[in-house]
Amino acid sequence: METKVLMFLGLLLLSFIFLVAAVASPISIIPSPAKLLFLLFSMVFDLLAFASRYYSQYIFEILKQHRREVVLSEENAYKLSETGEAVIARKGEAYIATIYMSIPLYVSGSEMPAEERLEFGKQMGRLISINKEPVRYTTQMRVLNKDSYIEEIHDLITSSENEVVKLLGSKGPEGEIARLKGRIEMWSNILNSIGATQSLELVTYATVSASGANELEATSAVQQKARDLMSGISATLGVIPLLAVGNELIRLIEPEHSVPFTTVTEQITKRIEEEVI
Amino acid sequence: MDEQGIIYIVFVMMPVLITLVSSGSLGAGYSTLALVVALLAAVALVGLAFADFIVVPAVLRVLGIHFKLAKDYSITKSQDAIIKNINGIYYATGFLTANVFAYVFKAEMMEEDMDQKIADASGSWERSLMGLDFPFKFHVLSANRDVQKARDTLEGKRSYIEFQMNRMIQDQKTSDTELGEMRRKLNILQAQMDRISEGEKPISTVMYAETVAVGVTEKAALDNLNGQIERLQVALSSLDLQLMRVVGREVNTLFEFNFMLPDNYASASSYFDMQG
Repeated sequence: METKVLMFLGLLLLSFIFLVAAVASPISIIPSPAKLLFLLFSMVFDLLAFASRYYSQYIFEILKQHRREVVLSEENAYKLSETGEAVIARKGEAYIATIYMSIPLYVSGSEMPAEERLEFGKQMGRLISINKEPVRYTTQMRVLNKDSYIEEIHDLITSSENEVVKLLGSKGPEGEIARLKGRIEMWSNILNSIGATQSLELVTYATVSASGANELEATSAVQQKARDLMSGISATLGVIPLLAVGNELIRLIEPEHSVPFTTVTEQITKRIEEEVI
Repeated sequence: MDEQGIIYIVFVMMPVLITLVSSGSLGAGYSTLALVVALLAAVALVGLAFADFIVVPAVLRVLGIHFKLAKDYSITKSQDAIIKNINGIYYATGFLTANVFAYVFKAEMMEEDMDQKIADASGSWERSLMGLDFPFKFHVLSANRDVQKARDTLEGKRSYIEFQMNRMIQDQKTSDTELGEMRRKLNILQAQMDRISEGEKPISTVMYAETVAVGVTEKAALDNLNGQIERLQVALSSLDLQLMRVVGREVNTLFEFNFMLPDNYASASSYFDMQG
């Protein structure tokens, strides 16, 4: 029997026990105030029993841990499969493997004539109805990762500044110092303009999951589902979907990859500078 | 409410009804208090049945309870966002339902300008996104339903309504308003059956948007997130979607969907109730 059903029955039983104690016992044995207290307990357990339909896991952990920060899990939410093309998560005893497929769709409805737009709309309608089992289609707008570019510019500025300090110390040629200062200003300006605006990119992908008794079984099942789905997408849209693997897969899941680290810190620094000024 | 929900509520209403009937056994002066307790419990049960996503977060907020979902991830005290802390930078993720309004599926007639609407959809979508400059995801979770089963269900409902209408017509007391209401229900079912006959596939979908905001503190990230959610609501409002901030258990469900989707129709539909 499912855990949540067991919890429901257990809580309901507790509710009935307190209820019987409250309404069926004579007042000579249990006085009225105690009966009222039992009735309150009965109603609380009754409410918990109903809430257990959706909140069994939470109720269990709240009752077990007795603290305000209730830890449902300390482990990673998922892990990458050995092949790197699926993420594996556990739900109870089952393993659930999930595959992400990017759909390279680079068309814009606004640039199409009316007939093409209609056909494109119908293609989209067909796309979401090609599968019998649940599939998630996603359009994601994310901040373009300019981390490496920003770091490169920072390095250039630092090295130029070091050279200036060295030349100033050895009383080097003024022309060279002015040239280096000009270069620092140029790179600083570029850095400012990069940090001031975000560059965004739009990606589309499909996600599908399958469960199994172990990792291998779940991965094989999801790979089969993904193959079927990819052929369906390919036939409907005329593009070949690609499996997201490794880092690209993580980029589609983790929030920090939607807004890359250096880009964020650059923007936060800019915002603070602006506020201070 | 689904069948499982009805079974649950039938069972949990028993202690409440027993209390209402036997409140006198608590003794003089206490029976009124017992009645009040039972009525409060009944109200709370109805609240949980139809708006658990409001009741439970409110109770947890009062008790100050919040959950750590997994390593690095926790849900906020307001139960409306997921927080991830990486190297002192906070990433707050929030969700917004974006389902097509239910009345669209309750149209009495098949819409004649459907082709025009389909043709305009991509343009409307692009225009609504044009002003957004923050990261977000728009998800469509779909599952195809069995055409024959869907048709059989609709046929069954239509037969039942026709039977009810016949009885109403025979009964002289039936008002025109009641009869008109039944005719409307019949037309809605007929319109749905016509759509299937025209080649539309019956599918179930859940649509939602997700956005991530960043801040150097949890509060800053949440403030930015609230701002982004509001802007997303404004941007998508032109698309005839029911946009509602997701709170409570469904935030956790949608968070889990990023690495663990339901793998069959029954389990997908069991996740959602009022908000979905």
